[in-house]
Amino acid sequence: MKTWIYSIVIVVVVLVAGSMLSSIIMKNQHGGHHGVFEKIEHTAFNDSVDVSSVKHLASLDTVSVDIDGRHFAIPERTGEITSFKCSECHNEPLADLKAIQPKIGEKSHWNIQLKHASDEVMNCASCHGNENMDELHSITNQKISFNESYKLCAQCHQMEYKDWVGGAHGKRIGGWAKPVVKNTCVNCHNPHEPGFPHKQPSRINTRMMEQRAKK
Amino acid sequence: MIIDNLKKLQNLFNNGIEHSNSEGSDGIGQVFEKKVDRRSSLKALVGGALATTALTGTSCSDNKWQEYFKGNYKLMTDDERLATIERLTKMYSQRTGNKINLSDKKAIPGTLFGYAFNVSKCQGYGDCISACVEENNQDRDTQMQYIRIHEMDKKNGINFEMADDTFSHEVPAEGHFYIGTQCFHCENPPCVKVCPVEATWQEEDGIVVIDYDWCVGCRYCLAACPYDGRRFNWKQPNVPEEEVNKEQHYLGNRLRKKGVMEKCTFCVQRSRNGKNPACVEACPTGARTFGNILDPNSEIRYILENKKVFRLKEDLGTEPKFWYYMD
Repeated sequence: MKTWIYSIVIVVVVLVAGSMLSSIIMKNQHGGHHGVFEKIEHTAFNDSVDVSSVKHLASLDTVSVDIDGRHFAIPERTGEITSFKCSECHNEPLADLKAIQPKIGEKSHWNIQLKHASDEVMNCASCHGNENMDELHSITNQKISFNESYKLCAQCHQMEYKDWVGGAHGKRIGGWAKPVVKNTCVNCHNPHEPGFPHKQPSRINTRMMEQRAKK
Repeated sequence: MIIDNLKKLQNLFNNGIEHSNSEGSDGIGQVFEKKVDRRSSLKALVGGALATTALTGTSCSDNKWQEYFKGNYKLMTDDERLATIERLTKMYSQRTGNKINLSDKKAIPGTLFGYAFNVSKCQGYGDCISACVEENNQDRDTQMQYIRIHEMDKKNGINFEMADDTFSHEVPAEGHFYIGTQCFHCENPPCVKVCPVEATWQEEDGIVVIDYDWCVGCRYCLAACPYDGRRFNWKQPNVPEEEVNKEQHYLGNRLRKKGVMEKCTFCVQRSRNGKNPACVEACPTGARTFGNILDPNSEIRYILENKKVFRLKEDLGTEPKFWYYMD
């Protein structure tokens, strides 16, 4: 009877010891190959990386932005708009302008097609002011400068806005290094027609199967 | 006798270079192309080896000669690196009359490069491929491309077996989405493990590079890569002189030759200067993000921490530094 118990105890001890030993060995083997996230965790970052993207920005005019503790810059916009300031033509309310010069009204802005939400939701006046054409306005009729048009977009596109501030939406200018300068919404999306077009791919590959040596 | 043999070897070798020069190569000449009978080449080689040992220390001004006998870039001292860069620059200008700016810039301390690809944003335009080919001096004849854009049917989900990699119709096509692949610069790269001559390795900033002059062209790495990330030069690459990108890096986009491997280097010539790789800069939809994953404030880190990211074939343990995510 006693030898029975002894032999069971011995078997159990051997099994436990064996499993512990193998787990130690496995751990050591695992230590040999490191994961990226372990590397990130174990590397102290001191923010003194010796590289800058200033020289790749040339003489870009920028406006600085400060949202949720993130500081970056976006390109200055008003200088890019061909017929800014708008008040040089829009010196009277739109209705009056149309009444005075109906033909000119038809010709100006002929190239702008509004393909942004439906008529029920948006028209020119959703963003452009009736009285002050040199600025945009929010839903609650607060003034928004053309330089800060992202505030206007953020009224509806909250997800994209958050991702843009953080860096999961949009595109950097100059490079990956600091200082952070990124495109603002209207640098990639035409605000009147924000979708991307369908087009032919810029380069195709007719010899990929040969390259892969699967003849 | 020894000098004679040395000259013979030098002639053999220079002829090889001239032969390949007509096809536009730099670095070591393509000695293989020169037809010599076995006896004379053996004689020349054995004699040459003896002669080199005998003449060690004597200065030899011949650039080609020194290029031929240079070591693995990884093991070179800084002076040796500068010397080979000087030689290659000189040889390029002798051959073409043009100047290249060949860099040997090392990894920037405190950087580990990572890449993110937004699957919902890619439209399949291929501007990334175009920019990459032009930036990295890839062979125009065989249409060598480091980046592949895979067109996937939404019905099949992410399925590379059923993807169309050679589409040529208007994009984005109805009912399809697009995924780009290239070298993922794995943290645990199988291609590096299998190289028998250590011609490929991982740099401090995580970029997996190739010494094109040390590669023997065995293509083990090509077979070991689970991601179709590596390319082989089956012929002498052809890049018209006016299209050659003159801003080069020794481990990056300098001109390659027949019989060696090449692949994406995260545009080492650009990224170590703070720029984004050419594909990132060219993408009009912002589907591509590049940056320092050690920097907690970088865009790439925001993506890793806030989006639902995944990598391809994660179960292999290769730890790619290339993540995919969706809006």
